[in-house]
Amino acid sequence: MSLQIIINGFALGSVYALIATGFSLIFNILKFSNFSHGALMTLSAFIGYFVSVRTGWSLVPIVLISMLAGGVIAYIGEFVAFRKITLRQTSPVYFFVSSITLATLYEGIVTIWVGPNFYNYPRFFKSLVIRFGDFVISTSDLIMFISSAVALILLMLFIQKTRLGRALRSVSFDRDTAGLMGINVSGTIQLAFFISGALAGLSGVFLGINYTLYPQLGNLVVKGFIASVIGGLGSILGAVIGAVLLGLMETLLINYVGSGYAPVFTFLIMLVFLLVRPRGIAGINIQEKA
Amino acid sequence: MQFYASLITFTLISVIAVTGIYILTGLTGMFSLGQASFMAIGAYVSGVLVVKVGLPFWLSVLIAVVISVAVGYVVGLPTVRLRRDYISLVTLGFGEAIIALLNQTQSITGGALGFSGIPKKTTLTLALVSAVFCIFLVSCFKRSKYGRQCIAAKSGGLLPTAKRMKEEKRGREICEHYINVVGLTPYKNERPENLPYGLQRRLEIARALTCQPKVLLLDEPAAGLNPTEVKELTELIGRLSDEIGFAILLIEHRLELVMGISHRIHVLNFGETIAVGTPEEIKENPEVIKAYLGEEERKC
Repeated sequence: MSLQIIINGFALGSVYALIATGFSLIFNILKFSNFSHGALMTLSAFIGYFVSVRTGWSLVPIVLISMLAGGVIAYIGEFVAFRKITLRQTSPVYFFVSSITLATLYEGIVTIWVGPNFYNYPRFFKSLVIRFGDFVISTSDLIMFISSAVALILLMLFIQKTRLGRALRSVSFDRDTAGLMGINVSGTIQLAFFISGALAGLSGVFLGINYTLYPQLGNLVVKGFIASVIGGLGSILGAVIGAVLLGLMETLLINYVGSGYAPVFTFLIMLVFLLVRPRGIAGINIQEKA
Repeated sequence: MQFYASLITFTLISVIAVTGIYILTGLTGMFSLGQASFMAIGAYVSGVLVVKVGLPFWLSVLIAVVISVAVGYVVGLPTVRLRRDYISLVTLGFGEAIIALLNQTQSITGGALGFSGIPKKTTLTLALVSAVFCIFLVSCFKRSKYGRQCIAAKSGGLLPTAKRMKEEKRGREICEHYINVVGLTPYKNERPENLPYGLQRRLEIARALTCQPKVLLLDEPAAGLNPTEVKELTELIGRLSDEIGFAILLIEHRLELVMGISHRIHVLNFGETIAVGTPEEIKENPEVIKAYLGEEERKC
């Protein structure tokens, strides 16, 4: 039984990790909390949904389309909502207001487009569960876990090993100096938004498959936020670790106190975490820069 | 008429909510996304106490306020000392937790269906009086010691107390005095990096003077200056030692400066003192001439 919980926890945690990573990427590079991430998740998941309903394509192209849609929308969103603020280097308050407004816009688009109804993705898999001896794993959980893991590993490799990844890290570290060293800062920020949007698309599709699709699906982004707080705001690896921990905790909590109370306990755990170890697991960046 | 009355009542309730946001965001610069959740706590506590427990309305309001304050304190405790982003993220999470909690405690709160049957006590007058009271309270708070602390916390630490204002004024006067002493008053409102090099050097000296030293140590003050600037610097240093009357220790190899103002010179060659004396004595000293000009003269 307990191993079953751990398996489910990892599956849940992997989606949270996708959300938290997409969120951390932007937090790292522009040092603000992108509250539009959740709504973007919903929007790109719905794009994937309607494409799949119209065309009847299988999961892989749908995921790719959602990722592309998320990436492109995030790219446009950066241009519309954040570019001016970045260039003027004004107060982070404007980022905050802008991202919340952008979230309202995305959510409004979805609500106008689909109404306040619930939608279900078509069934992508023949069998709903896979059995390994005594253990039962739902197919969607397994695929979700594998895809998330692959996406995160690819992202890590990209950030650590490639030239563009190095540009991303250096712009996160010090935007001005990176610019002086000949790095295309605006381009790198756009790249970060594209990747973040693509991750939002990926997580949106999986959340849609695992739960249902509805305009407020994006509220699940809070889990990603909590995961990045536990893991340490601004650290991508921390976000992944925090997300997996959160997934495990939630599955345990759902098992013992029921799904309704789980968010309450998750929140309390986060508070305790902030009291005991405010840096998070791998954290930096806890104090405002003077 | 009824419609407008209730519209204005709702507006006034929003005003009360906004005064709370004003304290958090306006005074301390923290972005809370959980204001509505705290309103929900107040609403449910008061409603449940009146309907289920049968407490009088005013007592329930009082208890509701106390409980919201307590919850707010607990949420704020770990978060306010961290980056401001944490406040937003944590209060957002708090909102989700409150919704989950209210949905779960269906027997008390009515869950997702809502909680009805609360006697309607909120009249236009009550809302108006409360709103005015809250605004009054917040403006008092803003002027109080604690309000000023909040503002100070936003701008990064130091309190704008009367004593600090006085000290700042004194500091400003000292600065202006020494800017005048070194002759930079025409450039008072200029940024230092915009000044020419020679004037920047004067500014450095002014900065040293603000500490009101007993001995002024100058390490190659003429480095990089052109002959005119060296001449001006020589005059300045000479004037300073005459007017303010402190000792000046000068390390320099520009002879026009050294010879112009020194009372006593120590000449060093490869770290060893080879001569000590007044400018006139030094000029005649063969060791110094040898070190500076070489031995050509003797050969000729």
